[in-house]
Amino acid sequence: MHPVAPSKLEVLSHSSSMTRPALIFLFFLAAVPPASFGQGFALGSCPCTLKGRVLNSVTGAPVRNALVESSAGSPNSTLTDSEGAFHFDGLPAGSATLSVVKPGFLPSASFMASPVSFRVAPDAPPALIKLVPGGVIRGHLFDDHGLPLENFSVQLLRRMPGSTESSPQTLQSVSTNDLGDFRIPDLPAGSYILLVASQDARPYRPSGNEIPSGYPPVYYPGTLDISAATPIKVSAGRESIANLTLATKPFIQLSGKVSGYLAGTSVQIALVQNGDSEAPSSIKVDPRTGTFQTDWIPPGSYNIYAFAEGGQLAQLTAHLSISAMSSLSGLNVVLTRSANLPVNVSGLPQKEDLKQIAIQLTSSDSGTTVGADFASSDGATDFPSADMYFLSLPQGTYHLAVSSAVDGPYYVESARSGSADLLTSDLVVDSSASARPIEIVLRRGAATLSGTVNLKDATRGAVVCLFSEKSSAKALFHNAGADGSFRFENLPPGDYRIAAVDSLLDVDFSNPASLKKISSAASEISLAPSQSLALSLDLTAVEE
Amino acid sequence: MPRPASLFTVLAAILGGFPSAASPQQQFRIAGVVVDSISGAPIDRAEVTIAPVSDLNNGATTWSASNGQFVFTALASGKYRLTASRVGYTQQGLDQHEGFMTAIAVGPKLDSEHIHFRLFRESVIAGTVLDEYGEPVRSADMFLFRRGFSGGAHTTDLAGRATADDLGVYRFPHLAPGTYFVVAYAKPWYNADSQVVDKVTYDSTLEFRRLQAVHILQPASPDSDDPQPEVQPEPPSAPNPLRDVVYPLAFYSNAGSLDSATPVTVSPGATVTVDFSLHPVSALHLLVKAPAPARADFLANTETGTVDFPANFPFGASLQLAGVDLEQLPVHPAPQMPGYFEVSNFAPGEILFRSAATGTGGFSLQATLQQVTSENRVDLFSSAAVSVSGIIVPIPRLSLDANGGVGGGQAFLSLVSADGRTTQVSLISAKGEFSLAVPAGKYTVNLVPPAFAHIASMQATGAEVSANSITLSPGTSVKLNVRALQADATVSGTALKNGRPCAGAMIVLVPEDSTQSAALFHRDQSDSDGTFKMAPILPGLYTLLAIENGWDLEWSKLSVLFPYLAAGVPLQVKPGANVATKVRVQ
Repeated sequence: MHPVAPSKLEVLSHSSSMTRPALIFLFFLAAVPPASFGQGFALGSCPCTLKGRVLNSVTGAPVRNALVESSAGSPNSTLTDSEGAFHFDGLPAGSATLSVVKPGFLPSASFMASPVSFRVAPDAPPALIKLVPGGVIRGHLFDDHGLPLENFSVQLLRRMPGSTESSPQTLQSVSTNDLGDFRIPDLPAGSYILLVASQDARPYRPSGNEIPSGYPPVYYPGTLDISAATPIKVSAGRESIANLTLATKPFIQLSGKVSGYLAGTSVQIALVQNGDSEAPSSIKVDPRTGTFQTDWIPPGSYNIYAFAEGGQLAQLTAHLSISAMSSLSGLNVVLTRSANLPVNVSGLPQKEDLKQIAIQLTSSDSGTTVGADFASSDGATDFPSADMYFLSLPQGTYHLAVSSAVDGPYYVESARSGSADLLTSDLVVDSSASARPIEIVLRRGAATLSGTVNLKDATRGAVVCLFSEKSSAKALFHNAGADGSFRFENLPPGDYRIAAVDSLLDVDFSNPASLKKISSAASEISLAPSQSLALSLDLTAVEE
Repeated sequence: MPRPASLFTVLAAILGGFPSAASPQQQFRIAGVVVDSISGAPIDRAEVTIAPVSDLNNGATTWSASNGQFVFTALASGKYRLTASRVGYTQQGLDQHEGFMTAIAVGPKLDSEHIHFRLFRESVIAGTVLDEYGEPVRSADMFLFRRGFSGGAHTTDLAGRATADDLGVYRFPHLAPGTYFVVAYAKPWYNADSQVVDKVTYDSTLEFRRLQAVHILQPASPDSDDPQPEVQPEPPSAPNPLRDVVYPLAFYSNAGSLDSATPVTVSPGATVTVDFSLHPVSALHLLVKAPAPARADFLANTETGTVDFPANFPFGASLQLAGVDLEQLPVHPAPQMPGYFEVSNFAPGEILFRSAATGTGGFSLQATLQQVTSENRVDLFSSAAVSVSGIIVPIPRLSLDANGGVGGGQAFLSLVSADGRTTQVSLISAKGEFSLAVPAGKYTVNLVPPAFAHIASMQATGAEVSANSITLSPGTSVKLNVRALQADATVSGTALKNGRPCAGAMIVLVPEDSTQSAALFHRDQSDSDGTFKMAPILPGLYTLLAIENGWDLEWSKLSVLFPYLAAGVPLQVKPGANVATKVRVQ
């Protein structure tokens, strides 16, 4: 049994990247500090009682039987009564932080917002805590005869604003029951994509018929192509309904030729279906001719990866993205030599701190992310000396992300490879890339920006967009908490524009024109080195 | 035809091709109609599968037509097992009773073309689990038990598990008609331990549930006159009583045990609603005295559904029901109480302790529960253990059934205490050796599984033996020599009614000495040509019975079969014998 397991808190400071998908379930409560926070009060005589109430942020109704935990008091936890009221007795004067848990509501514990502190004094007003109810997506799955489809997987995806990954993140997966029903509760407000797939991959093959057929994975409301998917909008405390009718489709085969590998070596090809979390299926290759052919597969979008040994610590790799609605032949998969890319990091007080730095490259072709490694001792002598390495990096275009867990406010002052500025442009890995190490300069004095978006309508959510005034530096995005709270850390000092956008508006954050519109409506702010700035933002009007 | 092999084994095997009949001049057909068991209406699009009894891995599949008819052609003579399934119906063997079904004999002068295959519409049990406030109990673990009939006796077996959703709603779909019990188990979401509870996946292949010792634990009563333990432990820091509550196991409807639960009778095609309302009680905490481990953790292997204990961990504890692990209970070293462990935060019920094995070939599933030194304290391993080791000849062989009845398993020797609470099991090694350690006392020695070999005699050095029981004195070390009797005979024949072969009759082989073990009873079902075959059979004296429509008889109970014995066929089965006989159907 795992009732309301608290989400794991993953505290990562992102200097150049954005909110990680794992974090989106961490939001939060609307903890409204008492409006009449006493000024200039005298310390009264305690022990005192900390009283309060827990309310549903959407309906305003009291939340009964919610678990309130306090940083002070013994016992330090209690359940609210039928009026949503609670109290902790015998507290010393000062302050106490409170957190509240109730199934069906988003957890109040927040990893970014500091815990909400309440004054404990004889004259302290009652604490008022608003819990944000989770949203629900539910629906039915039918076949084209109207019969329920059981045991199909329904994956919940969310496109993270500003994510460099080509596909949205899978947040969770559920299965349809015998009625074809599924249900995904406890969702923060926002836009979601559903991917529905049969969990029995075996195609149906009527006897004697040459082309098998089956259910290809489809995105709601029934498209093979994610770009044609209709996002499902979820509001706090509301149910959104997503019914699908699926039809079988004839399966397809992909065939072609791999080239570029060394004679006498073997080539491996793997096929990964978009949105499929299963292990890739391997494809048989004729080592003499390089020809390959897949099994019968559902139509859809695929990535083909090929690997071969390139000798001397090098690999030959190739990647092909295909959207195939019918069988394709004559595919050309050309292997190229991967690069071993050195990485140097300067600006840290000691080399040991390097272990606290995560450096990642995300391919703009395949969306895969790789992290820099410390070179293993056996191969190290063959490389130029460097702090870290990207080994066997396939050729292509990459986006650099640096995250720091080093104690202290560090930010990325510069990141270069040869003449390329990796803060403003992508890294191009080609056959000569190994000669251009990535040089990263970190600097102390990062600023922190936090605050709250005034949501007005408690059923909604917000995306906070932060644009650097530095020419063409990438924008940062953050899904505000259910209470509207947000926080950016490890920011380089400088001038920024900031705006909060309603998360239910279908803003395409990868579209430069949309971003320009948001940016032009944004407020200007300036961050000094090591500054911590707190802001209150209103939602920006963005017409689509 | 016999062999209680699962339908799934058959069907899983069936995806291969089917051999064309060997000789073109001798080809036969199997044909019939699939009908609804209640309405008798023909069922179309049913998937019908046949497999030769001699080669169940080699099946063929067809679909019934709109008039329910199906046909298989070009078959070699022999016996075939039939199964059928369709969306909305339970998957079944032909005329299936328990694991037995009537195979169709195919050959010259045999009618294999008028089969009436009755399918049962599947049913659903569903409901809602609410808490004391009328709010949903999310993630409540729901257990479905089926009143079954297995091995010739009524059984109550786990038939499904489900988890309630965020509305407290659960469903058990695809049920065969029958009698069920529904059990809800949950911890209040605000329970202090709710977030750290390990879950153990139930594995139906876990064969040792009958060997597990159990003991009912009661909440401490303040006026108990328990003997003082040598260390008077301080109670651990008291948990917040508000959060130190659990829901007792809830048996529909509001029953406190499986025995008093309301049976839920499910007819074909029905959806039955079974709702629960849970009310918390104070959680139990148990102090267990056991040797301190080097490591204070244990592992629940969710892949295999078993619990693995590091050899240095003293024990694990789980909440049990009808031999099923409902929950692996948290075990912590008790704070400031060396040698004590706390099993915390559980509901009243049967608690099973398993200790890591010592010297039994690395097999770690053992159960030990010795005595409760106070209402809430258990002293594991308190009495001086007696080590029992020895050898068994001949080494019991399990792989006797060519069609995969049970084959391939391992044989064990078990010691069961006279009060039934303690069971120790040792794997029998390839050399026939076994070794275990138990507290002093009187035990029954058994071989497991029991159907394949039997203890013929025992000799002990350092202990008294009588038949298959042994009495162990404290502080001794016992050598035990066991002589086994291997089940290696075969009994086959033909069931006759009015002098003609009778299909689908229940065949029972009744041992003369039925007091020994229900495992000596054997059961079969005659095929379409009236023939049957049972193996392996332990040598001994038996009576062979053929009974028509005796499906509800508890056939492993002598008292139930007594009225039939006089008209049965007495048989003497010698070691390795192949007994063939005719038997009249009663």
